Amino acid sequence: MITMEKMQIDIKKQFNIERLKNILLVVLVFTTILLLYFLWGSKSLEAFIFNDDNEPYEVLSSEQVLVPDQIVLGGGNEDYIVVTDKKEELWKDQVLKTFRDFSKGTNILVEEITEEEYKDAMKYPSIFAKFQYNIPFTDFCKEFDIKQQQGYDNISNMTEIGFSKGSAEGTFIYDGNKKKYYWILGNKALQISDQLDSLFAQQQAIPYFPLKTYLGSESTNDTLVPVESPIAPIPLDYKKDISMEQKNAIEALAQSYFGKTLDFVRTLEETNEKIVYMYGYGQKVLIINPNDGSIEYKEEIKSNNAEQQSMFASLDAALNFIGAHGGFQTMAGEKIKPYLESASPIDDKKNSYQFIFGFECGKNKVFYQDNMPIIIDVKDGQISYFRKELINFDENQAQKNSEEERISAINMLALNYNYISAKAGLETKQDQKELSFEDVANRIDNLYMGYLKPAIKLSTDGTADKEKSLQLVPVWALEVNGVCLYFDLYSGQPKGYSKAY
Amino acid sequence: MKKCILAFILIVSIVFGSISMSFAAVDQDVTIVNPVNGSAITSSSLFLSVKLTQPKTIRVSVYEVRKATGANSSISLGESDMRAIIQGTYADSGSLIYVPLGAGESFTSSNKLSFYTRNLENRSPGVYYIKVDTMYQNKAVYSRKCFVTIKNKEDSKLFDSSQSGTATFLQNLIKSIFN
Repeated sequence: MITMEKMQIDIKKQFNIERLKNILLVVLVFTTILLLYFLWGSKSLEAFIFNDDNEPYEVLSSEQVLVPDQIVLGGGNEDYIVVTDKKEELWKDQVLKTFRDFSKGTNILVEEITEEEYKDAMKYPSIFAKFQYNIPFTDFCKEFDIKQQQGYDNISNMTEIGFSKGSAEGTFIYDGNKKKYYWILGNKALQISDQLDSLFAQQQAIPYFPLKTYLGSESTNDTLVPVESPIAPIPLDYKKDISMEQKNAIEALAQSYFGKTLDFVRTLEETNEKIVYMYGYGQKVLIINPNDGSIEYKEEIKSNNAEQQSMFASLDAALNFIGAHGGFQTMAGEKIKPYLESASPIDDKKNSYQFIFGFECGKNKVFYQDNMPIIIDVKDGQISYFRKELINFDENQAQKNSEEERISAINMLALNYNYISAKAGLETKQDQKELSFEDVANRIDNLYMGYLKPAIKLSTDGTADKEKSLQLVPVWALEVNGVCLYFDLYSGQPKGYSKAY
Repeated sequence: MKKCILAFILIVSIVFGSISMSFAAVDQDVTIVNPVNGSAITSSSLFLSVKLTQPKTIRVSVYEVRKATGANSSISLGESDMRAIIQGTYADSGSLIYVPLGAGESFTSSNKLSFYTRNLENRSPGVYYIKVDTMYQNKAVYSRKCFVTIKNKEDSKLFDSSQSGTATFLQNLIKSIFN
């Protein structure tokens, strides 16, 4: 009896062992499959490590950030208005809407025209939207719900788009990449052509004239220059986005990149107060710099994706990444309204883009002497580099105007043409004599007004003076030969220069 | 002999004096860049640009030149009238009246190069006279003058929209096929 019971127990034991073995075998098979999946699929375990239940975040659409650099209204007398008020409305409700409606028409013809013909069109009452970068035209039509007409595929990029009373049935497009000008002709007069005079009159703004009008027959420069400065902002105090006192906030920021536990992440605190978070052997690096209030993130590219990535797909990837990592707002929660300042292929590769975002303070552009507010590189749909340096300022102060007398743009140029020539590298070694004012003026590419955020001066140990108050300075910003030069809006004195993006 | 020398000095001073006077009539450091003297523009605004190549004080006055037709009436002039005024051949110069457009504006430059600019909006067609005086101790010592005609705008089209015909459409269609 005892032997029978013992035998039954032994059999049961044996059965349990066998069952355990089977389970172990199944687990092993699945583990092998999983490991083979990672090995053959070149998949990374990082996705599991950094996978946290993130809170929902706001992602801006490409349509929200794609705003023209300038909307220029032509008065028809070689007088122009560079719109600052309601620029976005004019772009969306007038230019974009008109072109969308226009493209629904039939018998639309695309014709290449000369630069002179294009410039002549601007001399009539007109509206032109000018971007600082080239937008792939086919992608633009797809993204903005514009019907692709026959002949549109002849246009590679769009840098400017506009309408003129000189051709009420037409649309004008400039491709800045190929330096080609197009006239797209429909078969009925556009409604906007009747509104151009009233749009100009409604603005009640300081007129702009081409620089050649100021300088006479010796000049050929069409850069628009206002008769006087249309804005009178006051210097504006600002605070850096990150300081060393915000320990918890800094850690929370790092967690948004590496996961809540910060597993497998090394933290290094440098003597110049920089904090470096590193995963692996530099596969992912986050540098938090309280000296200039910047966040810098670099990520190793995992694979070479041969799939074609359009500019808009890359832009969406960039906007999604920014949204997931704090969005377009400071750590103090101050939201900024961004616009796409620059979009350019990296190393002329079609799948890689660098996007630069800027923002306005009041209605004035903010120029950074060092770096830019937001830079993001997208390679094969993956973010490889991201840098964010935002500032906190009082929006109410930005609305205030000064009563102080301002120097006109033309007199600022006259006062500083030798400085401009030297800093923009216009003088070559062959030139023995100094360049004349007219020579320098002819080389000017663009003129803006706005705020300059001067470079933060660091002490010998690499740290910034915490006591020093920081200010945005109202300036004339001049783009010459790839260099952006800044001059005080009131005195005209040079305030520094930087690379133009 | 003394008389001869005195006469020579007198002749020389008269000759060179007159030359220097003729040079002195205009200030070489002040140039009216825009508008160009004797030009005609089709615009409803008149943009002035004066270039100064030395620190100076100038006073800029703008007048509309009209022809008096009665005690209280006058008419505006045209491009041919302007040319005749510049050449000094205008037949009835006594009837010309200069209607000032506001008070003259003073501008002082303390730099070696500077510009005076002004935009006069809503100008009607006619002949306009711009006078730029170089001031010294509140007195005009030199003067620059410029005449310009504002013409009516002709309603013109940049492109001939007849190009939108069927022939052009077919032409473009063939072009796009072979491109």
